[in-house]
Amino acid sequence: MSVDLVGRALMRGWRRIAFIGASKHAGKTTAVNFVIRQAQAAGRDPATLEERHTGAGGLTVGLCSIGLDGERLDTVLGVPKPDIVVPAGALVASAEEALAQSDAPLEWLEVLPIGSPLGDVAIVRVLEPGRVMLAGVRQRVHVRLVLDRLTAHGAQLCLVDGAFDRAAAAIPGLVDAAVLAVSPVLGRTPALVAEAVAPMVARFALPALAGEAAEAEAREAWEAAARAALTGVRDRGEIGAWCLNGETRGYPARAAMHRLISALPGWPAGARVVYVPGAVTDRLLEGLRGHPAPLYLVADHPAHLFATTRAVAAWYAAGHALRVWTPLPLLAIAANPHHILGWDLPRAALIEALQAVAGDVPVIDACAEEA
Amino acid sequence: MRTIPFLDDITASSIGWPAVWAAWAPVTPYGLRAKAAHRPFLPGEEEAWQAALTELAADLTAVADDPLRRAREGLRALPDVAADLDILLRGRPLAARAALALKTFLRVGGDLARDPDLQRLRWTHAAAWHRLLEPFGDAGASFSVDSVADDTYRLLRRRLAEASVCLARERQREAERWRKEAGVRPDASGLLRIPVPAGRAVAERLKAEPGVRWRQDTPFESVFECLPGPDVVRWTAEVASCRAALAEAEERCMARLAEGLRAEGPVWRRLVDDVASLDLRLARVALARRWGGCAPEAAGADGDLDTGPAGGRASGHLPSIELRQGVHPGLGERLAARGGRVTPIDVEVAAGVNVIAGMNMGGKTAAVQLVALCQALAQHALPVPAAGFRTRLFACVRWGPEPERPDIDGLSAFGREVARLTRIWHDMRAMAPHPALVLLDEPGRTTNPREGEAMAVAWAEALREAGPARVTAVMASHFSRVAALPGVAHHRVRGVRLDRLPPPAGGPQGCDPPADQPRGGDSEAGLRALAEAIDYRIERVEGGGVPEEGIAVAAWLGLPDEVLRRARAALARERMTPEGPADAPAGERMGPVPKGEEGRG
Repeated sequence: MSVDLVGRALMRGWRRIAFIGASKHAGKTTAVNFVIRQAQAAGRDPATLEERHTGAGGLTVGLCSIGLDGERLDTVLGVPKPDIVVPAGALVASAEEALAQSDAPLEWLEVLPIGSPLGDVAIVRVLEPGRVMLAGVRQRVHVRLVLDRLTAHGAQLCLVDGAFDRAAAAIPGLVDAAVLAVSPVLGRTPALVAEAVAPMVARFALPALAGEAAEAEAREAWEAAARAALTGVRDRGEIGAWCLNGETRGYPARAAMHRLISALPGWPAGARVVYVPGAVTDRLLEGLRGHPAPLYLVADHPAHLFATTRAVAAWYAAGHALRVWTPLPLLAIAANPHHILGWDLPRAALIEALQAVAGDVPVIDACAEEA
Repeated sequence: MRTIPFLDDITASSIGWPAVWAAWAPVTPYGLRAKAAHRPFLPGEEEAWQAALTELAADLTAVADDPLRRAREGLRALPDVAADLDILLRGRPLAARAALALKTFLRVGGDLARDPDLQRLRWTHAAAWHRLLEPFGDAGASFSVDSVADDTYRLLRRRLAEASVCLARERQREAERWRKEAGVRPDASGLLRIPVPAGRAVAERLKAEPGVRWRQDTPFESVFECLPGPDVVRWTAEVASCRAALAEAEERCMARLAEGLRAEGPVWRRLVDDVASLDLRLARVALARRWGGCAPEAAGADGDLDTGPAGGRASGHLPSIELRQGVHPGLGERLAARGGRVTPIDVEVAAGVNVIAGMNMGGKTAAVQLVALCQALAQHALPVPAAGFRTRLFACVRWGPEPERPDIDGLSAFGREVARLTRIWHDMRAMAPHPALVLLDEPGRTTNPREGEAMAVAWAEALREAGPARVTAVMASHFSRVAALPGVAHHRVRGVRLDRLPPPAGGPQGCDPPADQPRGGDSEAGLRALAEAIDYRIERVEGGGVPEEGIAVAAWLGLPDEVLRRARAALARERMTPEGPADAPAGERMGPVPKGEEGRG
């Protein structure tokens, strides 16, 4: 039986979902199609074909993508990219020329002030089921505008298909949750795929610095103090260091571009918490690893963690910890057993291996499962 | 062909024109383009200018704040259809996005055209908006071919919908059949994946089955492609056929729509012009509201503003420009940000040469800038930051000397001054017989005082000789011979009222406080008190003279006694010489006696 992802999202109040790939050819679009099919059936059991055809009764889905897409063929291998199949009533934000390739009749609702090589981005309502191509939205600030306008036009569940920059849309505040698409590109066995996915899942499971009120009570009280003290530093987009004695320092982010953070002038040796506004990389972790433990490194959100498993493991081994300022929950892991070059991993084994590392995040086979 | 601009760059920057020009802010691309093409009215265009000023005055009365805000919000919602319209009118196909943009333009513009508050402006014909919207089929906010469809298109839409449902039903039926036969349903890609070894027997059977095509065996599964059954094939073909026919029908519907819109090409262009004009007009009103300003008035053709020096008022000079309660917006906003307030000023600039004298910090430069700025605004038919402004058209407005700036071109300040004033002179002559407005801010200040004064006098005399029909000049100057020049109109900044100044900290006025105590001007409060004691108003005076307030103010500010005594002595010695200033201080207020205040103590 299918996992009810739409129900899970709605129950938690997640109305904007980003689809991100663990690698290239991870099956994001396949996962998007899976959720679209589920949204069509939402609220009806079972939906009639006529209802599915007209879109009546189901959730109104809003769709957009982010990244450098818009080609019908994959830019690396030249193989056809999967189409996004939308029901009648769905709302789509895409570039004019991409929409012109749709085989569905469209109602044009609004042209947005977002230009692209494929023309301005417009919002349309799909009048008959058909295939659409998503393109034209290339900046996060535009995603925000698009999502706001999709919602204003009646979208009840917005899906953001990530593209070239695979985690571009996975930003708290921009979206409420993410679906992580996974394929055999990560490894030739289910175990290897799961091993590669584990640190990504762990990233999204990282606790927030004194995040939830209930958790904060259970944690050390200093986490709340550190969060309060570093709030201003974060608002200014600076690197921040907080010490147990309350001392707080802020450094312009650019100051650490060409030197280690710990080499910044006046870096407090007693720092307990370090907030970093940008990417958390291996170099960053290695540069701070020798700091007196424990040091809590805080990334702004999970998609900012780019460090490898090896570097993260070494970080924890040194007695340090990782936190995020704002968490982003995973709605699901979408497993795609099919490799882009034509071979498949065993479906059941892949899902089982992924579920073992996913904790309470559901794993779905977006290809095979009936929505 | 005219090559000399109405405002040159130095003048524009000296009077704060770029910021003021930017403050006139249309909100549509049409308005912005029209603004970029907007030119000042010049001599010879009095009739059109008068009409524009009359329209501005009427707009200021007709549009209240709320309708103004609402209308500008509506204008902001108008899409830019210039490119789409161009494509349409050149006979090229109309895209759906362009159709939406054109329809939105008509819908939003039509709402504005029907707004009773805006109808008072008579800016457009509401019926034209409605008529152009008709070919779109409905007045809704969206566009689809459905709304312009013919019967063929509608029939095809229905056929496509039915065929799609039938196709989906047949696919579902086939999927269910495979579930029964093979134990699994095809996946989203139409592939049957039979797990092995559990399903090996099924997989082997399917390999002989004509309804599927074997794709591959893996250690985990056998994969088959489900071949569509005859009903699926039939409905698939029907859906494809409907889509193709629908695409053609859509093309025909859009072509028909384009043809209908194209036939109204001139009306489209007129409506675009109407929007541009409305946007500019409302932006003018918004500007006036921001400044608390008014519409300028054109001097009548019957010469109610004089063009010659003879006759008229007691001074012998009728005004060429009248400014009432004016405040330079840049200065006003800067002071407001610091919690201060600008004193509104009145100036009557006579045709011919005007000299403004007054103390430093007294606002001479600001007053001249304000006159020039208002003139530039008036000639663009824009509101002025004043309660009243009455003027005529000039062929150009020129400011000189150039404000001080770092020496980047190898010219000394004196060299730049001479070059600038010479440029102004040539521009003025080139404009003949049309008049120029020349603003000179302390000419002669960049060389030694004697030669500087001689040059300033020479400029004033040369401008006077050019005649009021050719030039109206306003010159701010400290030089007493300029201020005493006959045949020019004299003005004076009222200046500082020393009796209004509080005693400086540390002792009574004029006495040195102890060295460790602050003096009058040493503190922010002291400077503020000084500013408050200055009367920035400009007044016409009979006869010239330079107010001598500098030493008294310097004393209040705490100039050391050793210096102060010598300065007073030097001034007294100079008054004894034949070349010294003819006028003597009258009590604490120095300089000429203002009109109407003769005999006051």
